[in-house]
Amino acid sequence: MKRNFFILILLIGLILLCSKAEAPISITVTGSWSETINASDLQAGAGSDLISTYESAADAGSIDITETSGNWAVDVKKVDTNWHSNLHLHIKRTSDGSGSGSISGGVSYQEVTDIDQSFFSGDGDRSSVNVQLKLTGISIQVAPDTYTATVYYTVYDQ
Amino acid sequence: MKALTKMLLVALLVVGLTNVAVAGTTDDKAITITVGTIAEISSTGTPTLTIDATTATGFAAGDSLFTVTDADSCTYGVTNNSPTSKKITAHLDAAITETLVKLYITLASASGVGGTETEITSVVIAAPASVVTGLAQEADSAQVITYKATAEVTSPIGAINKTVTLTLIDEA
Repeated sequence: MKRNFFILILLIGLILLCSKAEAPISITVTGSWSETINASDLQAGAGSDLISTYESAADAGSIDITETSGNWAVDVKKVDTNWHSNLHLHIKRTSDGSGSGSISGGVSYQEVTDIDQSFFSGDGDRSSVNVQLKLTGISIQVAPDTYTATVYYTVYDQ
Repeated sequence: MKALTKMLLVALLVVGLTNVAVAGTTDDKAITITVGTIAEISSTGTPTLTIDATTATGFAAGDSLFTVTDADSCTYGVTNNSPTSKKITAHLDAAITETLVKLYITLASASGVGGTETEITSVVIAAPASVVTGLAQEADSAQVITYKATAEVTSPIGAINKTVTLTLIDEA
Protein backbone atom coordinates (compact mmCIF):
# COMPACT_ATOMS: atom_id res chain seq x y z
CA MET A 1 0.00 0.00 0.00
CA LYS A 2 2.83 2.33 0.87
CA ARG A 3 4.42 1.55 -2.45
CA ASN A 4 1.22 2.36 -4.33
CA PHE A 5 0.90 5.63 -2.51
CA PHE A 6 4.46 6.56 -3.37
CA ILE A 7 3.88 5.77 -7.05
CA LEU A 8 0.72 7.82 -7.05
CA ILE A 9 2.47 10.84 -5.59
CA LEU A 10 5.26 10.46 -8.12
CA LEU A 11 2.80 10.30 -11.03
CA ILE A 12 0.84 13.32 -9.87
CA GLY A 13 4.09 15.22 -9.48
CA LEU A 14 5.12 14.32 -13.02
CA ILE A 15 1.73 15.35 -14.41
CA LEU A 16 1.89 18.67 -12.60
CA LEU A 17 5.41 19.28 -13.80
CA CYS A 18 4.35 18.58 -17.37
CA SER A 19 1.37 20.90 -17.11
CA LYS A 20 3.53 23.62 -15.53
CA ALA A 21 6.04 23.35 -18.33
CA GLU A 22 3.48 24.72 -20.76
CA ALA A 23 2.34 28.15 -19.59
CA PRO A 24 -1.22 29.07 -20.53
CA ILE A 25 -1.79 31.36 -23.49
CA SER A 26 -1.77 34.95 -22.41
CA ILE A 27 -3.42 38.19 -23.60
CA THR A 28 -2.44 41.70 -22.58
CA VAL A 29 -4.39 44.77 -23.63
CA THR A 30 -3.05 48.29 -23.27
CA GLY A 31 -4.72 51.62 -24.00
CA SER A 32 -8.13 52.95 -23.18
CA TRP A 33 -10.84 55.14 -24.64
CA SER A 34 -12.75 57.97 -23.12
CA GLU A 35 -14.96 60.44 -24.95
CA THR A 36 -16.52 63.66 -23.74
CA ILE A 37 -19.60 64.88 -25.55
CA ASN A 38 -20.81 68.44 -25.14
CA ALA A 39 -22.41 71.35 -26.99
CA SER A 40 -19.54 71.47 -29.47
CA ASP A 41 -20.81 68.11 -30.75
CA LEU A 42 -24.17 69.46 -31.86
CA GLN A 43 -24.72 68.86 -35.57
CA ALA A 44 -25.53 72.52 -36.30
CA GLY A 45 -25.58 74.44 -33.04
CA ALA A 46 -28.60 75.23 -30.92
CA GLY A 47 -31.74 73.64 -32.33
CA SER A 48 -29.96 70.58 -33.66
CA ASP A 49 -29.30 67.13 -32.20
CA LEU A 50 -25.95 65.67 -31.27
CA ILE A 51 -23.70 63.86 -33.71
CA SER A 52 -24.65 60.23 -33.17
CA THR A 53 -21.37 58.38 -33.88
CA TYR A 54 -17.94 58.71 -32.29
CA GLU A 55 -14.77 56.77 -33.06
CA SER A 56 -11.67 56.24 -31.01
CA ALA A 57 -8.18 56.49 -32.44
CA ALA A 58 -7.29 53.57 -34.69
CA ASP A 59 -4.86 52.38 -32.03
CA ALA A 60 -7.01 52.98 -28.96
CA GLY A 61 -6.22 49.47 -27.85
CA SER A 62 -3.16 47.32 -28.45
CA ILE A 63 -3.27 43.59 -27.87
CA ASP A 64 -0.39 41.21 -27.27
CA ILE A 65 -0.95 37.47 -27.43
CA THR A 66 1.87 35.38 -26.06
CA GLU A 67 2.67 31.90 -24.73
CA THR A 68 0.84 30.40 -27.69
CA SER A 69 1.10 26.78 -28.69
CA GLY A 70 -0.75 26.76 -31.98
CA ASN A 71 -4.09 28.16 -33.08
CA TRP A 72 -5.98 30.55 -30.85
CA ALA A 73 -9.02 32.83 -30.94
CA VAL A 74 -10.04 36.00 -29.17
CA ASP A 75 -13.56 36.68 -27.91
CA VAL A 76 -14.85 40.06 -26.84
CA LYS A 77 -17.70 41.21 -24.63
CA LYS A 78 -18.54 44.12 -22.36
CA VAL A 79 -19.87 44.37 -18.85
CA ASP A 80 -21.79 47.55 -18.14
CA THR A 81 -21.16 49.60 -15.05
CA ASN A 82 -23.41 52.50 -15.96
CA TRP A 83 -24.64 52.34 -19.52
CA HIS A 84 -27.53 53.80 -21.52
CA SER A 85 -29.69 51.45 -23.55
CA ASN A 86 -29.43 53.76 -26.59
CA LEU A 87 -25.66 53.38 -26.72
CA HIS A 88 -23.98 50.71 -28.82
CA LEU A 89 -20.28 49.90 -28.71
CA HIS A 90 -18.51 48.47 -31.73
CA ILE A 91 -14.97 47.19 -32.23
CA LYS A 92 -12.68 46.27 -35.07
CA ARG A 93 -9.09 45.26 -35.57
CA THR A 94 -7.03 47.87 -37.41
CA SER A 95 -3.66 46.16 -37.66
CA ASP A 96 -2.18 42.69 -37.88
CA GLY A 97 0.46 43.45 -35.31
CA SER A 98 3.71 41.55 -35.61
CA GLY A 99 5.02 38.15 -34.73
CA SER A 100 5.80 34.75 -36.05
CA GLY A 101 2.23 33.59 -36.48
CA SER A 102 -0.71 34.72 -38.52
CA ILE A 103 -3.93 36.60 -37.75
CA SER A 104 -7.32 36.87 -39.42
CA GLY A 105 -10.82 38.26 -38.95
CA GLY A 106 -12.20 41.16 -36.98
CA VAL A 107 -11.38 43.86 -39.51
CA SER A 108 -14.97 45.10 -39.81
CA TYR A 109 -16.88 46.73 -36.96
CA GLN A 110 -18.95 44.35 -34.86
CA GLU A 111 -21.10 45.26 -31.90
CA VAL A 112 -19.73 44.41 -28.48
CA THR A 113 -22.53 42.92 -26.42
CA ASP A 114 -22.82 41.42 -22.97
CA ILE A 115 -22.10 37.98 -24.41
CA ASP A 116 -18.71 36.71 -25.58
CA GLN A 117 -18.45 36.86 -29.36
CA SER A 118 -15.69 35.81 -31.74
CA PHE A 119 -13.44 38.74 -32.57
CA PHE A 120 -10.38 37.45 -34.41
CA SER A 121 -8.15 34.40 -34.49
CA GLY A 122 -4.66 33.33 -35.43
CA ASP A 123 -1.70 31.21 -34.52
CA GLY A 124 1.61 31.89 -32.87
CA ASP A 125 2.54 34.90 -30.78
CA ARG A 126 1.35 38.31 -31.99
CA SER A 127 2.08 41.69 -30.52
CA SER A 128 0.72 45.22 -31.01
CA VAL A 129 -2.53 44.18 -32.66
CA ASN A 130 -4.39 47.49 -32.72
CA VAL A 131 -8.13 47.81 -32.19
CA GLN A 132 -10.51 50.72 -32.74
CA LEU A 133 -13.80 51.39 -30.96
CA LYS A 134 -16.92 53.12 -32.17
CA LEU A 135 -19.87 54.42 -30.22
CA THR A 136 -23.28 54.90 -31.83
CA GLY A 137 -26.65 55.99 -30.52
CA ILE A 138 -25.73 59.32 -28.98
CA SER A 139 -28.54 61.86 -29.06
CA ILE A 140 -30.17 64.37 -26.76
CA GLN A 141 -32.24 61.46 -25.46
CA VAL A 142 -29.11 60.28 -23.64
CA ALA A 143 -29.16 62.25 -20.41
CA PRO A 144 -26.04 63.96 -19.10
CA ASP A 145 -23.99 61.42 -17.13
CA THR A 146 -20.80 59.40 -17.19
CA TYR A 147 -21.36 56.05 -18.85
CA THR A 148 -18.82 53.28 -18.29
CA ALA A 149 -18.40 49.71 -19.41
CA THR A 150 -15.52 47.27 -19.27
CA VAL A 151 -14.50 45.45 -22.43
CA TYR A 152 -13.20 41.92 -21.83
CA TYR A 153 -10.85 40.26 -24.28
CA THR A 154 -10.46 36.51 -23.82
CA VAL A 155 -7.95 34.41 -25.71
CA TYR A 156 -8.14 30.65 -25.81
CA ASP A 157 -6.46 27.78 -27.58
CA GLN A 158 -8.27 26.24 -30.49
CA MET B 1 -3.40 -2.15 -8.11
CA LYS B 2 -7.05 -1.38 -8.90
CA ALA B 3 -7.07 1.19 -6.14
CA LEU B 4 -3.96 2.79 -7.55
CA THR B 5 -5.48 2.98 -11.02
CA LYS B 6 -8.62 4.62 -9.67
CA MET B 7 -6.60 7.13 -7.71
CA LEU B 8 -4.50 7.92 -10.73
CA LEU B 9 -7.57 8.50 -12.91
CA VAL B 10 -9.02 10.84 -10.32
CA ALA B 11 -5.73 12.71 -10.16
CA LEU B 12 -5.59 13.02 -13.95
CA LEU B 13 -9.18 14.25 -14.01
CA VAL B 14 -8.42 16.91 -11.41
CA VAL B 15 -5.32 18.08 -13.22
CA GLY B 16 -7.18 18.06 -16.54
CA LEU B 17 -10.02 20.11 -15.15
CA THR B 18 -7.57 22.57 -13.66
CA ASN B 19 -5.92 23.01 -17.03
CA VAL B 20 -9.27 23.57 -18.75
CA ALA B 21 -10.07 26.22 -16.20
CA VAL B 22 -7.00 28.26 -17.12
CA ALA B 23 -7.04 27.55 -20.85
CA GLY B 24 -8.51 30.99 -21.71
CA THR B 25 -7.03 34.13 -20.26
CA THR B 26 -8.67 37.51 -20.16
CA ASP B 27 -7.66 41.12 -19.99
CA ASP B 28 -10.02 44.06 -19.80
CA LYS B 29 -10.17 47.78 -20.39
CA ALA B 30 -12.71 50.36 -19.32
CA ILE B 31 -14.59 52.62 -21.72
CA THR B 32 -15.78 55.96 -20.38
CA ILE B 33 -18.27 58.19 -22.16
CA THR B 34 -19.10 61.50 -20.54
CA VAL B 35 -22.17 63.32 -21.81
CA GLY B 36 -22.20 66.89 -20.60
CA THR B 37 -25.21 69.07 -19.97
CA ILE B 38 -26.33 70.75 -23.17
CA ALA B 39 -28.70 73.70 -22.85
CA GLU B 40 -28.27 75.89 -25.90
CA ILE B 41 -30.45 78.59 -27.42
CA SER B 42 -29.71 80.98 -30.27
CA SER B 43 -31.76 83.36 -32.37
CA THR B 44 -31.44 84.98 -35.76
CA GLY B 45 -32.80 88.18 -37.23
CA THR B 46 -33.00 91.83 -36.31
CA PRO B 47 -36.58 93.01 -36.67
CA THR B 48 -37.50 96.59 -37.45
CA LEU B 49 -41.05 97.55 -36.64
CA THR B 50 -42.03 100.79 -38.35
CA ILE B 51 -45.28 102.10 -36.98
CA ASP B 52 -47.24 104.34 -39.27
CA ALA B 53 -50.42 104.33 -41.24
CA THR B 54 -48.84 102.51 -44.19
CA THR B 55 -47.41 99.61 -42.21
CA ALA B 56 -50.01 99.17 -39.53
CA THR B 57 -52.09 96.06 -39.82
CA GLY B 58 -55.72 96.69 -40.67
CA PHE B 59 -55.41 100.39 -40.06
CA ALA B 60 -58.29 102.49 -41.24
CA ALA B 61 -59.11 106.13 -41.07
CA GLY B 62 -60.51 106.88 -37.69
CA ASP B 63 -58.53 104.21 -35.86
CA SER B 64 -56.53 105.38 -32.88
CA LEU B 65 -54.08 102.48 -32.49
CA PHE B 66 -51.35 101.35 -34.85
CA THR B 67 -50.46 97.67 -34.74
CA VAL B 68 -47.42 96.32 -36.58
CA THR B 69 -46.43 92.68 -36.66
CA ASP B 70 -43.21 90.97 -37.81
CA ALA B 71 -43.38 87.20 -38.10
CA ASP B 72 -40.81 86.77 -40.85
CA SER B 73 -37.53 88.18 -39.61
CA CYS B 74 -36.63 86.15 -36.57
CA THR B 75 -36.27 82.53 -35.57
CA TYR B 76 -34.69 80.67 -32.71
CA GLY B 77 -33.28 77.22 -32.08
CA VAL B 78 -33.05 75.38 -28.80
CA THR B 79 -31.42 72.14 -27.65
CA ASN B 80 -31.76 70.61 -24.21
CA ASN B 81 -30.48 67.13 -23.36
CA SER B 82 -31.56 67.19 -19.75
CA PRO B 83 -34.63 65.27 -18.57
CA THR B 84 -35.27 68.24 -16.34
CA SER B 85 -37.86 70.44 -18.00
CA LYS B 86 -36.66 73.86 -19.06
CA LYS B 87 -38.34 77.07 -20.18
CA ILE B 88 -37.44 80.07 -22.29
CA THR B 89 -37.73 83.52 -20.84
CA ALA B 90 -37.58 86.89 -22.60
CA HIS B 91 -36.62 90.30 -21.35
CA LEU B 92 -35.53 93.69 -22.67
CA ASP B 93 -32.25 95.40 -21.86
CA ALA B 94 -34.33 98.32 -20.62
CA ALA B 95 -38.02 99.02 -20.39
CA ILE B 96 -39.77 101.02 -23.10
CA THR B 97 -40.63 104.26 -21.39
CA GLU B 98 -42.47 105.96 -24.20
CA THR B 99 -46.07 106.10 -23.16
CA LEU B 100 -48.71 104.40 -25.22
CA VAL B 101 -46.16 102.15 -26.97
CA LYS B 102 -46.30 98.46 -26.27
CA LEU B 103 -44.17 95.52 -27.44
CA TYR B 104 -45.26 91.91 -27.56
CA ILE B 105 -43.40 88.69 -28.35
CA THR B 106 -44.64 85.24 -29.33
CA LEU B 107 -42.39 82.19 -29.65
CA ALA B 108 -43.61 79.17 -31.57
CA SER B 109 -42.50 75.82 -30.13
CA ALA B 110 -42.68 72.43 -31.81
CA SER B 111 -41.79 70.49 -28.67
CA GLY B 112 -42.71 72.74 -25.77
CA VAL B 113 -45.64 74.91 -24.88
CA GLY B 114 -45.40 78.24 -26.68
CA GLY B 115 -47.43 80.37 -29.03
CA THR B 116 -48.74 82.72 -26.39
CA GLU B 117 -48.42 86.43 -27.03
CA THR B 118 -46.64 88.05 -24.10
CA GLU B 119 -46.22 91.76 -23.49
CA ILE B 120 -42.60 92.64 -22.70
CA THR B 121 -42.85 96.45 -22.80
CA SER B 122 -41.58 96.75 -19.24
CA VAL B 123 -40.03 93.32 -18.80
CA VAL B 124 -36.37 93.48 -17.80
CA ILE B 125 -33.86 91.02 -16.44
CA ALA B 126 -35.09 91.34 -12.87
CA ALA B 127 -38.38 89.66 -13.78
CA PRO B 128 -38.19 87.98 -17.18
CA ALA B 129 -41.33 86.66 -18.85
CA SER B 130 -41.82 82.96 -19.59
CA VAL B 131 -42.54 82.53 -23.28
CA VAL B 132 -42.02 78.76 -23.81
CA THR B 133 -42.27 76.01 -21.21
CA GLY B 134 -41.98 72.21 -21.10
CA LEU B 135 -38.71 71.68 -22.95
CA ALA B 136 -37.11 68.38 -21.88
CA GLN B 137 -34.62 66.51 -24.08
CA GLU B 138 -35.76 68.40 -27.15
CA ALA B 139 -34.09 69.95 -30.17
CA ASP B 140 -36.15 72.47 -32.13
CA SER B 141 -34.71 74.55 -34.94
CA ALA B 142 -36.05 77.51 -36.93
CA GLN B 143 -38.91 78.26 -34.58
CA VAL B 144 -40.64 81.52 -35.48
CA ILE B 145 -40.42 84.56 -33.24
CA THR B 146 -43.23 87.03 -33.77
CA TYR B 147 -42.91 90.61 -32.61
CA LYS B 148 -45.86 92.98 -32.37
CA ALA B 149 -45.76 96.66 -31.50
CA THR B 150 -48.63 99.00 -30.90
CA ALA B 151 -48.71 102.77 -30.53
CA GLU B 152 -51.34 105.40 -30.14
CA VAL B 153 -51.61 107.68 -33.16
CA THR B 154 -51.63 110.68 -30.87
CA SER B 155 -48.13 110.11 -29.66
CA PRO B 156 -45.51 110.37 -32.44
CA ILE B 157 -42.14 109.26 -31.21
CA GLY B 158 -38.61 108.70 -32.49
CA ALA B 159 -36.85 105.39 -32.96
CA ILE B 160 -36.71 103.03 -30.02
CA ASN B 161 -33.86 100.50 -30.03
CA LYS B 162 -34.15 97.60 -27.62
CA THR B 163 -32.40 94.28 -27.24
CA VAL B 164 -34.51 91.24 -26.51
CA THR B 165 -32.71 88.44 -24.66
CA LEU B 166 -33.97 84.87 -24.68
CA THR B 167 -32.72 82.59 -21.90
CA LEU B 168 -33.08 78.85 -21.43
CA ILE B 169 -33.39 77.95 -17.75
CA ASP B 170 -34.75 75.18 -15.56
CA GLU B 171 -38.46 75.34 -14.95
CA ALA B 172 -39.07 76.08 -11.33
